[in-house]
Formats: sequence, C-alpha cells, structure tokens
Amino acid sequence: MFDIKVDDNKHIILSGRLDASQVDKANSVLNLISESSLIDFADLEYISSAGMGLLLAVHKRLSESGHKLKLRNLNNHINDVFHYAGFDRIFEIE
Amino acid sequence: MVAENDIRPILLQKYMNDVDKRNFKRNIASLNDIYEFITSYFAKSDIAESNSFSVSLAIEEIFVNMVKYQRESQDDITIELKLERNKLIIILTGYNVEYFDISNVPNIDTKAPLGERKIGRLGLLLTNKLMDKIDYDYNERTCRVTLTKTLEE
Repeated sequence: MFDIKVDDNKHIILSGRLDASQVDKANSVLNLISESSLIDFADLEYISSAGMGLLLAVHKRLSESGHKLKLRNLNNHINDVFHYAGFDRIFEIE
Repeated sequence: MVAENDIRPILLQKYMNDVDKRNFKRNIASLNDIYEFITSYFAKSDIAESNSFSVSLAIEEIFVNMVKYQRESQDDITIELKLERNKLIIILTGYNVEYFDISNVPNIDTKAPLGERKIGRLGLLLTNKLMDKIDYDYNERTCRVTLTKTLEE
C-alpha cells in the first residue's frame, strides 16, 4: 500500500511501496510542486525505477526555475539503489 | 509401497516447497499480486527478508519491461521461483512475443549531470546491479528471462 501526503510543514511524506502501479498516485501530488521541497522517505519501504524516474523528472522540472527536491531518511536498500543509479550525485540526500 | 527408510518422499516434498510458478495478467496492476507471490514464497522457503527488496525490484523491472515493450501479446506472463542451494533462480516467460534481448541493452551514464540524465533504462541497470546475472532465451515466439541471485543469510 503506497501513500503520499503533504504535512503541515509542506514536507512530502511517502509511505509503503512505490512501484510502477503507484506512479500516477505519486505524480498527482508531485506534479503540483513548483518550488524547492523536502521529501521524507522514513516510511517508504520500497521504490522501483518507475518511482525514481518520476522523482528525477520532477527534480529536472524544478531545476529549470532554480528549485530542487531534497530527500531524507532513505532506508539502506533505497540508499543502495539511489547510489547505483547515480542519484546521490543529483539529489541532496540527508 | 514406500520403504520406512526411504527419504525420497521427504526430499520430493522439500523440492516441491522450494519451487513455485504462477501466471500473471500482462498488466501493471498485477504488481501487487506478484509481490504477494514473492512474499509467500519467501515465507515458505525460509528466505531472509533482507533479500526481498532486490528480488521484488528485479522481478518488477523485468515484468514491467515485458508489459510495456511486448504490446503484441495479450498472453499472461509466467513467473517461476526456485531455490538451488543458496541461489534463487527467477524465470519470467512471455508468450507470443517478438525477439528483444533485454540482457544486452547498453547501460545509461549514471555520472551524467542532471540536465543530461535520461529517464528510461534505469530499471535494467538496477536489475543488473542487484542480480548475479541475467540470461535471455528466445524460441518459437517465447522469451525467457532468467535472473540468478545469491541469497544473503
């Protein structure tokens, strides 16, 4: 079960499993972002290339207007795949 | 009649517990059923949960690739899981499809700056990183992708 919410601090909170079947749901929120934002992965168990591709697309779009996505609390598995994909060079990860 | 000291039925039962095969609709919506299939197999085969992320991801990436790029077929995709000692063998079979060797796709440049990064082909790169090897066979409009993964204890 995947979920995406925006908390009172305007941080984006991901939870569950972000696989290819959940990308539209994630995009429905991420598509509305127009300035730099923090995404919290603390409750996200899993992400595949579909979700990673969405994050990359949003980050690219924001960078065109001088903004960016910042990511935090990635679990070890997600940290590993972000490293393999070179995302740790592209995103600021706390 | 089986002799009292004949362990073959026990070995057969053990072997049967460690092989599982199921068909899935050729649709992204099948991913939840596939995850349940993997989770169930891990539980009954006593495979450490730490392997679940990489196995789920590799299966998703190959399955999604088959769904997206084998549009000529409406047939189900078969996923088979089997244990060979400390290795998990994962076989995805697509029927009535064209030849496309996904084990031979060039890798993306993971060091490219943001402006030059491409969105596609990331899944195959991750599958290559997480699995020991990927084999592709094609015969009579049937493709078979075999993933081999050495399991963590």
